Amino acid sequence: MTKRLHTWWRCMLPLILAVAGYSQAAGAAELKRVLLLQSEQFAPYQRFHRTFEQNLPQGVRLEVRDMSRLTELPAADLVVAVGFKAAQWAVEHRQEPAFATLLTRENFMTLRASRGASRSLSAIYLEQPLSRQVALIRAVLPERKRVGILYSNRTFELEGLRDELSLSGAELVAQPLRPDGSLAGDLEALLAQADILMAIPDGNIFNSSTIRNILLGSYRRGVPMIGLTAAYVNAGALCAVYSTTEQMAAQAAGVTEEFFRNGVLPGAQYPQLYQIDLNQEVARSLRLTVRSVEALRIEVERAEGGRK
Amino acid sequence: MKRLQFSVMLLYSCMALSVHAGEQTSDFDYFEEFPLVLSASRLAQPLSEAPNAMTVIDREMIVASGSRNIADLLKLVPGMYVSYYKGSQGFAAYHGATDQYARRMQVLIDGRSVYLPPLSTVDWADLPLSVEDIERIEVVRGPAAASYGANSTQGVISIVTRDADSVKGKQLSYTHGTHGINDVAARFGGGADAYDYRVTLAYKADNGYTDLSQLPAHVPVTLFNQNALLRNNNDSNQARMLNYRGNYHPDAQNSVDLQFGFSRDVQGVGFVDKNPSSVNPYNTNPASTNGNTPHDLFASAHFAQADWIRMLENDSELRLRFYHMHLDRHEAVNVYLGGTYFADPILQSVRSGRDELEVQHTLAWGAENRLVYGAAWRQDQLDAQGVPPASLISILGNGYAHSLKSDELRVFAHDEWHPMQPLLVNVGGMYERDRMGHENVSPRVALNLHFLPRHTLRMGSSVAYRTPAVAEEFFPALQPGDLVVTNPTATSAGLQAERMLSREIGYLGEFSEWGASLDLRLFSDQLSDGIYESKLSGRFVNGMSSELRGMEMTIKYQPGRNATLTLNAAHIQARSNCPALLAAGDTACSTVNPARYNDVLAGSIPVNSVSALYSRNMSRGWSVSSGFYYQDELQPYDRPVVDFQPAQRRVDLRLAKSFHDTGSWQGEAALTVQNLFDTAYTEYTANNVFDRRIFATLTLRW
Repeated sequence: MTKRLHTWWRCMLPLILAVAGYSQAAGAAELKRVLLLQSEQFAPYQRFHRTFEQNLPQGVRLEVRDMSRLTELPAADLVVAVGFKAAQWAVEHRQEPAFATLLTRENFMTLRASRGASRSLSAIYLEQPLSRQVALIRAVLPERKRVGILYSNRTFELEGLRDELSLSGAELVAQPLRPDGSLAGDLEALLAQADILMAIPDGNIFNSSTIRNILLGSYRRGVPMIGLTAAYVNAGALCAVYSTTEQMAAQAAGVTEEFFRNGVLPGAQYPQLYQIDLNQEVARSLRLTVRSVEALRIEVERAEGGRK
Repeated sequence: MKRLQFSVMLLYSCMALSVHAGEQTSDFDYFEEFPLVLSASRLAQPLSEAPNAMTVIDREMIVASGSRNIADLLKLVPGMYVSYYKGSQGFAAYHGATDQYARRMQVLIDGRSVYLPPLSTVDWADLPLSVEDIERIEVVRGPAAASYGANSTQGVISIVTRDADSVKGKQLSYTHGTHGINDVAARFGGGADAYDYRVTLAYKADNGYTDLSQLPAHVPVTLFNQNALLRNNNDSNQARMLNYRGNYHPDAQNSVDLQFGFSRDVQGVGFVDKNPSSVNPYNTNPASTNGNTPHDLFASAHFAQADWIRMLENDSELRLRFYHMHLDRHEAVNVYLGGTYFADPILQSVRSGRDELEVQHTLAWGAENRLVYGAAWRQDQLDAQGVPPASLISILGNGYAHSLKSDELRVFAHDEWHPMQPLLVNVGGMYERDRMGHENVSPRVALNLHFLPRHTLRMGSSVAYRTPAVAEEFFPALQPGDLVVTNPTATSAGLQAERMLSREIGYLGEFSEWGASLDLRLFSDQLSDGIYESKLSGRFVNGMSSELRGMEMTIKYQPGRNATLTLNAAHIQARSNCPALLAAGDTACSTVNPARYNDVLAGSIPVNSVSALYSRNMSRGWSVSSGFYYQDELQPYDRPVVDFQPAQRRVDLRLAKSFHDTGSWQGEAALTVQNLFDTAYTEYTANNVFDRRIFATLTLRW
């Protein structure tokens, strides 16, 4: 049934769009046009689209495409790219002002380095600012000062993190993943030194097949892990600060509004809205006395506010 | 709700990941979905929320203690008596009644009960498990029948072995030392995405206690009669074992743990002293008989266990456990009778088997409750036989061959309820029924009040039962040194389960500013219908009662980031109805040591005991640790006065240096000295003199 409906829509959509496009072009000349370009059909991107659309200001017309459907792309006043692939394509093929979402700062920097100089380009990064992550670590376990990370060859803001930690009175214990060694051995070496394990966005180390051994290893040593997303906390990390797709979509809608109001894109930015998740069961089991999520949030906001 | 949303995401992100695997982008790291790793069954209940007083001996303490034997680790539990009957036949009893069989403790290895009700003992020497494979030992101090069932009347020792993924690569270690200490162990482990395993192959040998040529200093020659033992020339032990643990976790919902192990152990048992000879000037009685001449006891054990854990919705999980275990002990005993050895030995053997199936469901209901409930079925099988040689049939009879089977069913439930923030209520109970007709309900309730952050007050009360052992029901006496045999012709009919009522008040405080914690407990344990061997009827009867009151304390202190100190102390006041039984003419309670004790049961419990463990990691891979053990004098309950055990003092020292990063090789060299000051105290029997033991261990990993 649904499938048939779907097919029906597929056939009818161009017609409807054509009619709608005609009526809109005729009726409201000052309507702003936004092209939302998704890297692929991916559930989080679709959630982004939903929330983004709901939060758009009046007078904005939204066109949505994904990379599998790049034909008949309409002209737009602003291109919003969701994910790295879409952002890359937009930079290469479109001339309009564009901003990228749901991509990491590192990926955005790569893009910006390759963009045409004349055109405005901005972003909302996927990751939290290091200062916010460090603020959470310090707020949740102020007595623990040796923050360990495991990293592979991938570039990570090692020095930035080291500075951020030492500013807050903690120290970084960084253990590289040795090419000839095992993950378990490197983790063991790190856990002997560190009293907090911080996850970093490095799929070589943290992925669904390694997370089990990493979490079990850190739990055995009584070293809690600070995760990157809610999924980490669910799996057994102590806590994480992250932004939901919906929060980033709402921020993107805000950026869109600002662009149409001022005519210029604001600078690339970290997520403003965020969430803190805490796994109380893990805290209890590790005999850690931690404050409530609300108290942690106040502490993180205070730490961040103090730095601005 | 959140889980559902993420499981949808998981589906997509798996597709996405396969597409993006080769790319440099790390965007998808933020959309990666993970299985629930630290689930309810893995997470340990914090001490401050446990319904009982608990002691946890973790991996670091195990290493720091330098112990080669599992039983020795239990010396770090306040109120625990650990000793050895022969060189390798250890036993541990919490709160005394220190007889050789320690019949009132439940012992579990990864949930598998190794307490053998038919034999009513734990065979510590024949567990296919090496000390190095233990992750931690959790000891419930006090009855926990509501969670662990009958035979938990004094407490529960729960041994958690190292996970399947804890060993990666290969490891070889060799230990050599005094007293014939000679251990070799090979370990290796590995795995793939959904599978981990570890394997241990080990050989462990020692010569037991030093063979004495003269009496221990505290034993007057006048006490040394023909029952006294001096020579320890046959208490060596050689054990070989294999242990495997694998874990298969195909997806986020399922985890299957598979374990199996084998051990084969040869123990020297029996005594030469009972034969009058030139080497034993104290036994000059030519009519002396010895049914326990020196010989070897062969023990083979094996087990297999499977645990399947399945995660369900709403953080609830289902666990199914099955295990099978088997212990076979046999020996050939020469009989020395009226001055002559009989050439042909008596052949004795005992086979004990067990199968158990348990299903358990853990679920959270509401925000305040966590409920665990389940059911289990167990079958125990015991076959025993003794075959005397033809030449002795006229004297000893035809021998025996018996076999017994018993089934047990139990149903249990335990709820952890947080009615309001500072209060935690643990309510639980267990119903058990066995084929012999014993039926018990063991309830428990405990209140934990977190009256200040990091300060907890605990009040608890529970009732626990111990079902009579097969040996108690079907054999008139437990014969130390001999195999336990079943003899249905001499039953102790109508024997009921022992009952223990335990009450306690506990305090747990964490003083993080000093890096210290304090665990204090006042307790009262009342045993009624206690089973003992009455000398009036020659059978086991119910009728002993006792009351223990006392205090236990554990202090943990971390003076710095690299040092830890654990200090345990226990003070126990005991009294029993033994004097009354004696007045009624039952010599089972006759005190062998009237000068010191008029109550033989109370006298078997040390009034004060202390244990401490300090460990420190230093620079360049050096680490040092030291253990201290003190125990007041006592008179073992089932031993003659000559075995009176004076106060024990012992200091152990371990010094280790680890080598890291020398190529792909790593290793450690360690030197352990047990009883550093050579105080030569006695354990359980007067001839078991524990003098200084030194051994060195070299471990290589690659």
